Amino acid sequence: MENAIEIKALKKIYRDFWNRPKVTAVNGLDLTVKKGEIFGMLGPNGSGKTTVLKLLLGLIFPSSGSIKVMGASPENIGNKKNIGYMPEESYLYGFLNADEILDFYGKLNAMPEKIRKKRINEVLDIVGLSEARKRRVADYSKGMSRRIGLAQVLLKDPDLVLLDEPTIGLDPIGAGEIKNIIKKLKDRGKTVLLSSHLLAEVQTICDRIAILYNGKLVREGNVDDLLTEGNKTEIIVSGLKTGDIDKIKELISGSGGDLISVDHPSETLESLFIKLIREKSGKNN
Amino acid sequence: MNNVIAVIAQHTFVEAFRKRIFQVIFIFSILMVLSTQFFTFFTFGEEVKILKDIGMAGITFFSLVISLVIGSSCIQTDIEKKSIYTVFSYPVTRKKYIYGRALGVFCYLIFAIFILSMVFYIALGIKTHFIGQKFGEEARFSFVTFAHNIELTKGILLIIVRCFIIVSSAFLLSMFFQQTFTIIMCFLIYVLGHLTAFIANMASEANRVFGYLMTGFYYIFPNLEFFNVSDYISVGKHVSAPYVLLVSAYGIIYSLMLILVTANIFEKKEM
Ligand SMILES: Nc1ncnc2c1ncn2[C@@H]1O[C@H](COP(=O)(O)OP(=O)(O)O)[C@@H](O)[C@H]1O
Ligand SMILES: [Mg+2]
Repeated sequence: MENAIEIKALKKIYRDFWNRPKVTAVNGLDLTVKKGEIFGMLGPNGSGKTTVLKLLLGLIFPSSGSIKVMGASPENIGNKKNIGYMPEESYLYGFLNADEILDFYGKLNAMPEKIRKKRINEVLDIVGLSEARKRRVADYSKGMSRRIGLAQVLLKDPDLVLLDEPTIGLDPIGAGEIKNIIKKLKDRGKTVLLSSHLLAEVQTICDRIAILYNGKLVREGNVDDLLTEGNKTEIIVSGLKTGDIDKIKELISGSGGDLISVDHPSETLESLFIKLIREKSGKNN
Repeated sequence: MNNVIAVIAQHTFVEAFRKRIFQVIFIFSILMVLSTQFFTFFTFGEEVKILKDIGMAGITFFSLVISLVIGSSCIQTDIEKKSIYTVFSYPVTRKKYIYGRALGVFCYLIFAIFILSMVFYIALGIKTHFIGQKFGEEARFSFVTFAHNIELTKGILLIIVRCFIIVSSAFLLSMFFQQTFTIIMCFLIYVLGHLTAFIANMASEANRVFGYLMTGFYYIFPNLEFFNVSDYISVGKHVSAPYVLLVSAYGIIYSLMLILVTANIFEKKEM
């Protein structure tokens, strides 16, 4: 079994109370996620990303087409021990605290008590919620709720991880931490399928991406291949004198190249923000 | 305890136990039961009857309100708030989810009504003690309350079984409707369920089509009047044990059937 997910000619039509068709959310989608890769589903709001994830979990059923998750139907219960899911927003049970909520999920996954307690400590540490563990989840900020959503996936430690907009609603630092966690999952041989409408995010961590629009696949492929413009070269230099720039320009035209731009590169606001905060907090990584 | 049904049942119990609104309703019901402490009446018999009426009314009120709210919300809000998505990313079958929810709600109702009944019995005991003194009947006190309590317990048992019917009706309805509509429908079932004899009577007198409709209603609707023995008990009459068993069996089978139907519908439900 090579592929973690195989989707063929998938179609999903949402119907209303009277069974009349309302929205075609997924329209003839073919998608394959290989084992061990980080795959990004990219698309604007309403393009059908969440619908695909819900179909993969068997929360809703396809109108036509076929889905295989870890070699079985999404309705296969035995498989679910091995599939983790973080929903789009962390919809949590507000009457429980972090400890209790993770304990609940651990029990659902049939984890023995000893292992459960130990793992809960570990994952709360990883997502940085150890201190807030006795507070009711209802009082958590949005970012903290998302961390619980992620903690629950880590507690389960599945081979296939489905993440719906994993960094939405987080500040860049929180988002960065989540990205690091996702990369570590890949290092440990896990398969990750994530959805996002943030291009930069997908670009930095995904091996392959699919661009969805109106429930259809617009583009699919290796991130580097999709973004590399093969016949262009970018040179970044520091400490160059103005006169030297002219010499380089001459050199380029002499070798038959076409100079497109000479620029002072600016940082992206995101990386600048992260750098500044890291400096202030004395945290480097 | 790793059985999925038990885990979901426990989760449901804790959810109900911690719900602020339920705590408020619970305390209100306790106050209602205790309010009898402040009443005075003229004769021994009358006084004890009113105490029992008010106590049973408190328990009935609590059982109805909680059953309606919890039955209509516990699955529905899980779906609406989408917290159910994560649950079903775990090895939980849809049927077990419904059974767990039902078991949890039933346990909560039994627990809450048990506490309420204890408060009721103690209040009744204290009050009858003082009433007994007032009317010079101390000797009868312990015997009277004990005998009362056995009859009252039968009535309370039937109230609990009636709750099961209401909750499972709400479960079934919540497969199709939003919470408010489910509550209204369930309340209608509650009212009509107490009028089944009346409906049967109408069926026998009405014209053919309407008569069939009414007969259909009569058989489909739960006959809740069976469970209504409070009036009977409060005038000091005896309810036979076989009757209690038979009616309990009827109620339990009825609600189990509803839950089975709910679980089967839920298998195909989109979330
Ligand atoms: N339960 C539903 N009933 C009807 N339409 C829905 C439902 N869920 C989503 N949709 C519609 O399906 C389309 C895809 O939605 P979604 O999968 O949530 O997109 P994304 O996650 O990419 O933002 C949207 O047009 C949305 O309005
Ligand atoms: Mg979405």
